[in-house]
Amino acid sequence: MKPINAAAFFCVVTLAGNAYAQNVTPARQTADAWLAAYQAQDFNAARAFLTETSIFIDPASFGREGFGEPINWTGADTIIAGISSWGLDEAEYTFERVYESPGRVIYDGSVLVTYQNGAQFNYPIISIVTVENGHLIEHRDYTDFDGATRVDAQ
Amino acid sequence: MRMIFLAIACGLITTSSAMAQNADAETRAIVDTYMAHYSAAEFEAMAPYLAEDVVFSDSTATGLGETGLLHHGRDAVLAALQEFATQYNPIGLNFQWETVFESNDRYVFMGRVNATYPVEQEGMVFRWSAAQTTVIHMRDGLVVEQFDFADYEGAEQGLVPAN
Repeated sequence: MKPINAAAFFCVVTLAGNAYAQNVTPARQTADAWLAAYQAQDFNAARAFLTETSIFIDPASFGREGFGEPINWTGADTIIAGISSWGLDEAEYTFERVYESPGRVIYDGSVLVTYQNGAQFNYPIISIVTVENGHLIEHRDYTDFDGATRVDAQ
Repeated sequence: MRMIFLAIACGLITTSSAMAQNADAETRAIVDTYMAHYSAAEFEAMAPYLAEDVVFSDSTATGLGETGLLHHGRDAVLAALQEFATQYNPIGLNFQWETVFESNDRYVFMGRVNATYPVEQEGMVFRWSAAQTTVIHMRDGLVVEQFDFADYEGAEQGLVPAN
């Protein structure tokens, strides 16, 4: 029975994967894969999408008191160093709307951030991910830092 | 004497904080008025709110190349809006914002655009509806950047009753 279940599961996964590949553009696939790596804080996977000219920016972070370094990084090493400095376990998006124009995908909703110490905060956010030829051109966030809600037990 | 200095310092800090809050409220009111004019397609009324070096961008706009729609400077922005008004005669853009927040002088509006246009059929209008986000960057009480993002390819469109 187990092999049948495994085979059925494989078919479902394969069919679902094929349907996804057929229904979304290459740009959307790249943007989704980048965002999946980012959400999982999988820096090895994330690095595969980055080049020396990739940009990761959040203009809402500029000039915020007590925020530390503004989020405005260029290049694979700088971006990975910047993201990893936050000490996150994961950053799980809940999308309210996702849409795209050629080469650009807009994700709007909120992101539930889990820090390595267990603290969790939910931030309203819009992320605009621009990609080209399988690589990230720009990840642009506008994060509602003041509107964050703490959701862990504290 | 030290107590007097402390009291004065505390007073200054409190006053400074209150002034910052007032400035934030004033800027928010300016942004809301500007967006109300934009929503009503009152493009000429947007002019006083635009900085001379304003940048207006909609990188999601289709059929306009890699940068999409991009205008530099108040005159260019107003000319583009006027051209849009002349060409399409919009009744209104009728935004419905579900999420609005501000951070670092960036005002983020997330929701939908429900642009309506006149048609010959009595009692009806043509409506173009899509997910939209607009980011307004303010400096010294003026709009210095406007970024629009809309779901052009996923837009719903058709005739609907005028009211």
